[in-house]
Amino acid sequence: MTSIGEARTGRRSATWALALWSAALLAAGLAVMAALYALFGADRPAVATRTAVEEAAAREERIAFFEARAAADPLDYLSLNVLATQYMQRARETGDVADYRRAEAAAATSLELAPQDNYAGLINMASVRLVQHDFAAAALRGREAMALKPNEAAPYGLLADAMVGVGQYDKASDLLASAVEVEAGLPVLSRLAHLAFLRGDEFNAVDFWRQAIDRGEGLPQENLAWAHVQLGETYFAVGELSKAAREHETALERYPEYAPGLAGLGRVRAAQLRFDDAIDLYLRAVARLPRPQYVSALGDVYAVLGRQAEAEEQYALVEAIAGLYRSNGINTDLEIAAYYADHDIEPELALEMARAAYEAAPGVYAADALAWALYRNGRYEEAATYSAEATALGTPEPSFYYHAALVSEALGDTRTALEYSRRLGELNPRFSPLHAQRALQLAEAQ
Amino acid sequence: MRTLKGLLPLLCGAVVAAVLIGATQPPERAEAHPLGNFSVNRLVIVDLDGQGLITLRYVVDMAEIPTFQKLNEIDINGDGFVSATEETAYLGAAAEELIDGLVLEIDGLRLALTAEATEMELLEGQGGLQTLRTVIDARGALPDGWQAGVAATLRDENYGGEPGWRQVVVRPGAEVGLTGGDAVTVDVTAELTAYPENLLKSPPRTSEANFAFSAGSMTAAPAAISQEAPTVSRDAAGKTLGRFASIVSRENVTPGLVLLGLLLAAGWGAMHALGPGHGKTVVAAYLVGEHGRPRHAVYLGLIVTATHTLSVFVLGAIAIFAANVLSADDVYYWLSLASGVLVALLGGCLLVTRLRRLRARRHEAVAQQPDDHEHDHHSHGNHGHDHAHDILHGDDHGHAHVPPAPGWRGLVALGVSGGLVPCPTALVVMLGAIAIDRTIYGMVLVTAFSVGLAGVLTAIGLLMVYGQHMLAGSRARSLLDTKLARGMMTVSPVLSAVAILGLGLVLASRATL
Repeated sequence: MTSIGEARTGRRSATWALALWSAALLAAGLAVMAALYALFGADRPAVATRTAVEEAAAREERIAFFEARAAADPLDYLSLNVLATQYMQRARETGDVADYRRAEAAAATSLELAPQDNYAGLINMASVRLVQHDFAAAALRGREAMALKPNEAAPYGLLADAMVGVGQYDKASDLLASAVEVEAGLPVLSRLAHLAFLRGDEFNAVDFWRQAIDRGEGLPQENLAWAHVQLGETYFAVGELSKAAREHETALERYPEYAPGLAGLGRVRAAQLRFDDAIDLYLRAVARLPRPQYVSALGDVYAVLGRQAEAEEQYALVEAIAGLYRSNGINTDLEIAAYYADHDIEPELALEMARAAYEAAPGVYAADALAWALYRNGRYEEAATYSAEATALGTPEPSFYYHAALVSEALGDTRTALEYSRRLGELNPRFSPLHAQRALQLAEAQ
Repeated sequence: MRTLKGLLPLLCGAVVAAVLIGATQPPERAEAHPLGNFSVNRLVIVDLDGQGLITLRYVVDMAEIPTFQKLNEIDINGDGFVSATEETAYLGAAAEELIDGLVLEIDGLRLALTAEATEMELLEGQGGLQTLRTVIDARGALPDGWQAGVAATLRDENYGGEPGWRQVVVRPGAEVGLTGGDAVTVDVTAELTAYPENLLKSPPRTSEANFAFSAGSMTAAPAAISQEAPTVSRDAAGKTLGRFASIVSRENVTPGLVLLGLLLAAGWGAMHALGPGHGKTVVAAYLVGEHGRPRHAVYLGLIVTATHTLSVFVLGAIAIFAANVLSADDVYYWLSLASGVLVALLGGCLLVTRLRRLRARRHEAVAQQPDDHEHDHHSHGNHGHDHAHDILHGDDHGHAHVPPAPGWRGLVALGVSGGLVPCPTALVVMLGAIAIDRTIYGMVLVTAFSVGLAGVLTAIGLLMVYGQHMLAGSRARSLLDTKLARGMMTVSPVLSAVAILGLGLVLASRATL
């Protein structure tokens, strides 16, 4: 120990040393923060090198942290906003739908606590309503958010989703044109891709998906995996099976056992007649996330292999899930109607549901489902009207042209049937194992 | 706000999501499974009876969809009903399979478990579907000598990543004491029949629990009941924390609010410093023992502020940006340890120095030889002053002989150790601010918090310093001038050094617990 009490000079130099030490310490702290920010923080949540598993672990910590904060302070609506966003991301990744209820509760409480100027609360609520297919409420919240922050891309995107949901593609297109001016990131580009696909522009759709993926580095792995799956689905629709498989595989590399990726790859394998692989993939997808589409697709593969009992098991599960929809009062008429019509069962119910779906939200998918259900009921004239509407934009969805060709054929309009069949042949006649045989016949009858 | 990116996969997730949300509620709606129609909820209750027996109750509560899938398996003849034979067959297979998936290790060795009783129950669920509740009781015998203490791990390896409740509860009997581990001891779900209704609390997802136990009824409550985020549970004053943390999250920040925020932050820092910890005792002991002056107390405050602010920044940055490489918990542990070791080292150094000084003084007093203690860098010549007397006078008395004053190394060591372990509250503010993109504001508030915290330490230091001076200058002086008092004064620096050393060791050992 050096004594500083004796000489003035000694004392003064010690004073300087202490002051310098304090300043240096603070400066070092700031430097460390700045360095970490520069390295990882430029685009939070960043840390692009994190794996999906690490992200999930970090998210769990984050959720626990903000749940504790929200519990400690009943007025802290900003923590609720963070929670709602995190719950929705977790729901997408784990398929735990209870997280959507949590997100809804968090968003609702946040908006109650802060009815004014609560931009993030509005965005969260709009997102929850979109998931619930309540497009009108979603659009309402989206507009409120847009009024608060006209220079953010998010409200445009949400409004565009709501417009696509009700089939107003031109409005969606205008909104996205404004959004892309604000921020051309993965969220906006992926919506542009989807819209391009709907409007029959598959080349631009692929291009937009590619751009979306390029601009998506730093976002959660699940978002990127999702974009790859969507690109894979686009390739699948136009019959580029190996490219489709590659995209789904990339998605699964980014996010192991990602249910949409597993199901997407299963669909490709079924189209490639690799049915055992398809069954394995669908089983894994259903184990993670029992969505009715996956379950019925698994049933279809069993059915074409003649494994009727196993197929029936899966179909029964689809019905069970449909029962859950009904008892929850959720409008999923479109999906269930398409399922019934695909399997040529419950024609009246299918028609009733398809009509209800079309009236609630008239889009190309609803028009196609209605046409298909009308066809199953033998009402070919009406069916032709709606299949014409479904294919009017040129959406490269093989099933649309398959349905339309069958309708025209039933009406004896061979020329139109041939036209539809030609487009089906250009796309992917193997879109469904159940209908591949007939679709291939149509496509080859040129 | 980049919220948009999170809203993307609406198209793919929408349908499933819709199952449970219930946007429009039909009149005769049955209640959805509280944890979702797809959930598989699992609970393991471990009972330690004190007689060397370990009893497990494994409860699996399947929601509608997994139940529907399972029933295909159970209902062998496919008649839509579960007959007694089918039930027996299912329970037999389930007991074997599920117990096999429960890995109980005692001191690293897997313990064999035998199923004792099983039962299943089909309950009415939603949409005309059922839910399945399966309960399996199993037991195992603990190895001999468990009474002396064993470490156990229980891992539930059944099922996959299904959503739902997952928990391991350990209940020590009357003659058993839990001595450590991370297992909870209370089941809040009544064996998965009544789930807590708080939506804004995610269900636990723990499939592995560690617990150490031995014979004896002493239960040192382990991490136990708390499921809070670790950084938060450390802070006893939860409400204060919430309020402080919420300063940072006000939507519109006006200059007035910032000022208020700064004041409140400093106030909370001060309040926090008044709580246990933060080396107030060490500060006092050091300044008294080293005859600190007011400015030394101020230096200390500066160093504590700087160190504490830095610590919070770094820990916050690690928690946010480098969480995959470093866990904030680990850093916390190392900082606590470093802080304790630093204090102990300081105490040790002081002790050695002061003992030497004391010995030298004794020597001097006896032999009337020239002063030679190492803090004197110039010759004092011959003087008959009693050092104990000088100590009480400070340097204003014009004595030729000046008592030793705090060395800057000591001050730095003390200040750094006082600020090294960040207050959880400050950390919460930092993390919260980063999370809502207000990093800079959070940093400013944390700095204010540190100033408040250090202010209290400085104030305590000043109190000690002035108290010492007043004592020295007042009538107490005559009283203190007795032989006994002089002796006391001679020894007290040594005692305070011992106290600092002891405190440092306590702090360091607390970190390792």
